[in-house]
Amino acid sequence: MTNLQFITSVSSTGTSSVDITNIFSDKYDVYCIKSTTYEIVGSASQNLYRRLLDSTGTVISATEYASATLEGRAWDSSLLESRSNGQNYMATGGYINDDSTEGVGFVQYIYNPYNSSSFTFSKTQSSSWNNNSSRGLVMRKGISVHKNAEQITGIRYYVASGTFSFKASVYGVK
Amino acid sequence: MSGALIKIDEVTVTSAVATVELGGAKWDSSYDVYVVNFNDLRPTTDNVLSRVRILVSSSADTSSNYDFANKGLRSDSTFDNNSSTNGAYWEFDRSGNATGENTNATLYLFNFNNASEYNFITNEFAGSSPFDLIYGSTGGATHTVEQSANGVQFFFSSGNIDTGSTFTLYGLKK
Repeated sequence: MTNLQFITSVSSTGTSSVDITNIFSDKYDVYCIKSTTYEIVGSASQNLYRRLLDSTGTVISATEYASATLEGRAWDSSLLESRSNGQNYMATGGYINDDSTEGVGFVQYIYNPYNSSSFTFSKTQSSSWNNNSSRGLVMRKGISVHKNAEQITGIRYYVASGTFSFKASVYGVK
Repeated sequence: MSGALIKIDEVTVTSAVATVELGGAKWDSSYDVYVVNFNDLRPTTDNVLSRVRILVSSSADTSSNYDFANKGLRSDSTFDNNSSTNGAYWEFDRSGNATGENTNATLYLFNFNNASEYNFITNEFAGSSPFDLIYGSTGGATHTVEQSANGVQFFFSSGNIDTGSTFTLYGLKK
């Protein structure tokens, strides 16, 4: 029996946000989201963010998210820690780069989004390229939570400025 | 269509229990790598640690041969460096049991069918601790005895595993 079951894929260009709607249901408790393409247009490399969509499809922008992320940089031997207990977004991991010649990728797991009695948890790992002054690989490994027990139906990816290209696939883990 | 991850065993706790075992009589030794998923894992006692042992001949190995090293990711302060040698179990994460809180994790199991090597695992945990923050870990562990194993046992440092907690064992197709 296949345990990773395809749900949907999205492909978008020239927008500042992408909503993947109605992907979470009572059919799965665990979801996997994989992306191999996200590129910024008209701006320097920056972070890709995400927020969850509630049962009505409305984006949740309250300060209900917490994240902890470990970051490694190929040009710097240190490992950096970033953490927050009251963000209005869920850390995604990875820079979004501004050069189509560099590949990027992330894998995210989402836990219990449709369970209205549970917080929604995520773990993520990404490998991407920082195209700013210190050019090079950026690895991020992190965990996040939406600290409100409510039903979640979708997810929004967005950038703080400019527009971006994005491609991702969503799977249910059975 | 058959997938690459083959479900071998699954346990959903229907009344609180002290331990959950995956594999044992259901263990299928035809794989080199196994994956264990914990989902919606909740303790009956607040502020407890997640612990795992291997099964040898379907019984938990309680010998003091467990080593682990992991990075504890948390959203409130500096990340933890957690490690131990010659312990009686592997220890990964701190869990709370307030409304909405639970723990989710993935373990990869290596060399469990090889009697001439140590057993190794990698671990990724993401959950809520009792301090209203996201807490998780990423790391590796080994059992330093050259022997084969046929499953894992999960338990908390105190109290029971609450209803609704789900444990799944997969074999990774060669």
